Amino acid sequence: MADGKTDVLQGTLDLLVLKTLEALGAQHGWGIARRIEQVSDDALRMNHGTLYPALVRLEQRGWIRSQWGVSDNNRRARFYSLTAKGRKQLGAQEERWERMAAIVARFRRPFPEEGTL
Amino acid sequence: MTWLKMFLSRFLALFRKPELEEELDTEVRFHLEMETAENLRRGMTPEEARYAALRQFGGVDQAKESWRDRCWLPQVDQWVRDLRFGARSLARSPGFVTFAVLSLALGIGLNTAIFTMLRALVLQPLPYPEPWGLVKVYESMIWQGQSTYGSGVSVPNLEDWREQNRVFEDLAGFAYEGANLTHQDGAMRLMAAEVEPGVFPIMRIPPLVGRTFLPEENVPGADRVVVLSHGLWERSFGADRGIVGQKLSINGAAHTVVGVMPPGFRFPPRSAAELWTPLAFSERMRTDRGSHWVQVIARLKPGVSWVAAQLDMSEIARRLEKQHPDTNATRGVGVFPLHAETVRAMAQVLMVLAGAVGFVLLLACANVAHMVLARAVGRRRELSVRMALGAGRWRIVRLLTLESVLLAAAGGVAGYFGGRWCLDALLAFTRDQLPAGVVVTPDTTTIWFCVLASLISALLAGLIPALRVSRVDLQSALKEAGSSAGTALRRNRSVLMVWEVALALVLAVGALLLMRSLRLLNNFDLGFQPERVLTMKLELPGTRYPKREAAVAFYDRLLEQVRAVPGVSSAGAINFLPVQFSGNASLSFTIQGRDASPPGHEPSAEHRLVTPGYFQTMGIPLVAGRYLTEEDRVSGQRVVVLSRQTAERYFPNENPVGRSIRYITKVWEADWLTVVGVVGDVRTSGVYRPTPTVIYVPYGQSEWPWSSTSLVLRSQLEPAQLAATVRRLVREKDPDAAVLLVKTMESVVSDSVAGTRFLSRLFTIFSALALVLAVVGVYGVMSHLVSQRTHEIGVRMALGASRGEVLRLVLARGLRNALTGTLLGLGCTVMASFAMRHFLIGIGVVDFWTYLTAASGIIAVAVVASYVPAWRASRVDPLVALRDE
Repeated sequence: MADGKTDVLQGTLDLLVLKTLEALGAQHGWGIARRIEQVSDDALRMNHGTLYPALVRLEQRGWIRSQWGVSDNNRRARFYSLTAKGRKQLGAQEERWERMAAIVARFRRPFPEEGTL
Repeated sequence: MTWLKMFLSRFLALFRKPELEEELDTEVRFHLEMETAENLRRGMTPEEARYAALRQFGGVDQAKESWRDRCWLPQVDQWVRDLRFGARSLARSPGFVTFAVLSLALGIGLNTAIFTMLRALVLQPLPYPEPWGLVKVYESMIWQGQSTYGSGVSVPNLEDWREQNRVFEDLAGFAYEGANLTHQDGAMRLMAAEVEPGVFPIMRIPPLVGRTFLPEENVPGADRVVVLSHGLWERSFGADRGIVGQKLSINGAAHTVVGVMPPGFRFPPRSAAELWTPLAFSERMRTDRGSHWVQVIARLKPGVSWVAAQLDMSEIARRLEKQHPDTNATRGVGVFPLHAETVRAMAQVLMVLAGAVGFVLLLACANVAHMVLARAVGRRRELSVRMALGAGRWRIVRLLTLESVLLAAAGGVAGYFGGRWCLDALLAFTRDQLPAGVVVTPDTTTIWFCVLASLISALLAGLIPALRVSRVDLQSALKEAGSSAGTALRRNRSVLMVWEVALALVLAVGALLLMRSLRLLNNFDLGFQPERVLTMKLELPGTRYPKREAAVAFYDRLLEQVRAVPGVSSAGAINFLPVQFSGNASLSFTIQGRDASPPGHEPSAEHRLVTPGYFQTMGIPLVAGRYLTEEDRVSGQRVVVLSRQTAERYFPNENPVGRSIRYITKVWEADWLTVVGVVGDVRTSGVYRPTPTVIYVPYGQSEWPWSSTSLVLRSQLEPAQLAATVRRLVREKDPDAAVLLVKTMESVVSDSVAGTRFLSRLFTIFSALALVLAVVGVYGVMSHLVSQRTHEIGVRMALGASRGEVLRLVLARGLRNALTGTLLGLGCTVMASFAMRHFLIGIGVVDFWTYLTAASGIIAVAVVASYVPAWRASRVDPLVALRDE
């Protein structure tokens, strides 16, 4: 991480995509990728190519759906949007992340040594 | 569920691959264009912008590949590709494919046919509601230290059981009976059963029309009612519901029809009984604890197993033994599941056949396995290249197995249709022996069995060779074309040959044992001369001849007239024909001047009623004393004739003629009977069974009213013509009497060994097939060995080995395999022929000469099959062989 960027953690991409779709509504692949980069202030390094297998997987799970449409610049593009099931899943995923983050945070703080109270 | 849905959506995606690929392409192109445009906006040159976009995307092809992995099931994709590859490579060797598919089809087809029969006749539950609760209950008899099951039950015992047991919902008695139904076109002889009213509720099948019997109808006088089978109702009464309430003449007495059973109802199970009358117990029967003649069926209470029922009943039997020591000493009870009792005979035949066809399938698999192995060895180079390019072992195994899956699938389809054909042939062949009311027809289970058999064949014929081949170090195979890498494979092929020889031997021994049994039967001493003897069964309506005198008068007149027919040299009658009747009707007796034996150890013998002229007609030789004559009547001295064995067993070293015996029975007032003659032994209870001791009582002095008799006539006349004459004579005397089962004595004998004949024919066919498969297999293995060792043989010859030595070398190899196979096979054979012990006549399970004949035959065949490859090896030109490198 010489350039100060962070790799997308295994398993976090799903959450990021869902979150993005929640914020933007229907969006095409490139739009999602851009948004993820922008929100993270370009601090996340992500091969855009990895987005597409992730989108297929989410669609197979029924968390998102896709539709062909026309983009702002009048080109044919596939737009992804959140399903009801995906919305529910997003809640569950967020909660899990928060719990996880809290646990990790607790490990980062040194334990109070015995007898210091 | 999500898992399943995802699998399904990925599976379905397989069929939309081009479309999905195109969509992805559009999507990626759009993405790259957007990114490029963005980069341009940031001020890059067009070239820089494009490269930056591609960099950002991170490898378009890798992304697409990992998208494909997610989008559908890439494994299936590979499977399909391998399958296609397999099909193409098979198509290149049509000869191999034809032979492999044919032999698998043969094996699978035969197994399917036999399985279909086994399922319908043995495995299928009996067609009654909750059939597993049904049991048959017998009295067991401990006679001379041995416990024998299968005896009938005496009426008082049955009634005590009914009262005291805690395990049955109900017990009911029945008896097999024939019925003469008099109809417009004369007397019709039908199979019938007398049943206690409880039988129908026990079987849990309600009548279609009317009712079944009322409990009070099992009393003499109230028992003139009848229930008809559906078949008889349709055939003879046009399915008229108005039949209920009408009267029919059965055995000469008017019976009121009270009901009709639904189609498919059979009782006793699988019998051809067409009408049922109540089994009524007379006062004498109800007190006679010593006559064991009622068959008993019962239904277990829910949750009671038949073993528990057996324990409870044994307890009751012990109690009855104490209460009635004179009749019930040595009497126990046997409880058996009805299903097992019903299918036993069929199961014996079909299990032997199933074993035989199983062996044929194994042989076919071994052959195909060998061919697959040989092909795989030939493809070693190709496989090595695949491995070198990164194919894992599993991938290679799959590639090879899929080919045999294809073969087995084709074999399975061909086998299914071939199997149906076989089944039709088998059914046509066994029509007379199949139980009534069982439809043997292929169904979905048959198809599943076929699929399973194909799958197992594919695994045996493909997976095992594939695993072996893939284990060989393919790197060394890649480097050298030589044969050193094949040593392990060579050993495998020898193992296959050994097994083929062993399997073929087992079937050959089976076929030989059965064939010898049948040949022995021709020279078998039955104790009588069956040639030119015509037999027929005569049934008098019992109600018309309640007294023995009436029946005696009938037969006297009839025999007199029959003897007068030109061309008839002698005639007689007996109550049970020898060979045909396999049940027992043995009675115990005491001998005058000897101490009474303890209960269960009295002398005993089969009891047969015969007319004068019977022994002469059957050609049974006189050993001592005299035959029976017309003078042996009620008015004369009471006499009996003993069989030779009876005389030897109970009168050792003395002349029985002039001595007297008396039956131990409560049914009639027994007199002392004087022995007047001894005749030769006869296979009384069937060809398979040892000759029992027999006592012949003149029918004129019989204590039993007897309505069923077999006439025997010795004559030069055409059997059909003679039968017509006798039939006419019978009808003139009594239109209600029925003549049935007209047969020559020779066919009575040959019908009694129908099981052996049936098995023998099929075994001959199966073992011939097995032998062909084995010859092809041995030939294939040896040819392959030779072709693999061409180089080595060339070296040997170059170093001075003669052609004869090379020939011997290869033959020795074949012989060694054949010998090993024979030894292995002999071990299996002992077990296999033990399974056939019920069908062997006059020959032991381990018959030295049969084994020796079969073994030397198989070895000879194996050596001959090895000869051609050996000869070819000896013709190898060392120069060519060495240059072959």
